[in-house]
Amino acid sequence: MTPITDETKIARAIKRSRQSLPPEPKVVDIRYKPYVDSRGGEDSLQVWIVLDEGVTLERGAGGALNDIARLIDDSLQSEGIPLFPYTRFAKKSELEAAGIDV
Amino acid sequence: MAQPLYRQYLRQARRLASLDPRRPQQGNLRRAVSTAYYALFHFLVDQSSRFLVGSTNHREALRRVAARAFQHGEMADAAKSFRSGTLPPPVTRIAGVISVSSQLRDVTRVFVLAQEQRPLADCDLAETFLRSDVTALIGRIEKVIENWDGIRSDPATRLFLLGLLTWNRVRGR
Repeated sequence: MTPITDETKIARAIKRSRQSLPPEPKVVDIRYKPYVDSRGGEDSLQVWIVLDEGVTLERGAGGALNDIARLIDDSLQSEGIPLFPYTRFAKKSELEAAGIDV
Repeated sequence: MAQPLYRQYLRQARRLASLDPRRPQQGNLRRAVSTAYYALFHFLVDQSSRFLVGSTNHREALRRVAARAFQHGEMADAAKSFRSGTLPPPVTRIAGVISVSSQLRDVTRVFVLAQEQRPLADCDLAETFLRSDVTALIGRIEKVIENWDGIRSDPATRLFLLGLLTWNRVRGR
């Protein structure tokens, strides 16, 4: 279970990431929840980057997506949070259709 | 001349992820995730084998033998260490303090993510895969491979390539 102090730091790191996002692709939300990885059972974070419904991830978009993942990771590490962020990308409509609750 | 395996896998993953434009089938998305992971796995194994054994043609058989020794878990352990940017003291005591570039950290982050998703895609029927997420994973893998030449000669990259095969034996001594 994530200690309350860590929860505060994680929330602060995510908030800071939201404020520094690149203009493209358009992100409408960043959601996260505690996660335990499947290989070693290590405490981690699952971070969902919710993209605008109009975003199409064309070939070549990977650079911007890596930038976003780096931004989140750096923000967490600057808060002293060592948890690995498994950063995923989705549209709200996809999360809802799949019943993924974040 | 045939394309390298990792390129074939990336093309295959892209094709699978783009099938069924209106309603993506889980089978295609799951195979796309697994194939994308193996693209990056084989790329890193190839780079590491070339670095450790040599890249000339007459060493190809030796590289193929070395490639059999890589273990998924140990590669992920190495990637997690390099992702943090802080390497363990037993390593820095010998190799010195080495700066890990943001591009190498991108590689490690994507590798750990892809490796986490691969068994879920292959075996966990409770997991649902989304086209945007799968397409994002493929794009991220394509990008770190595309950027590789820019970091290939960095000291941290060289240590990472060594660590992919040896990490669990060198990090704790």
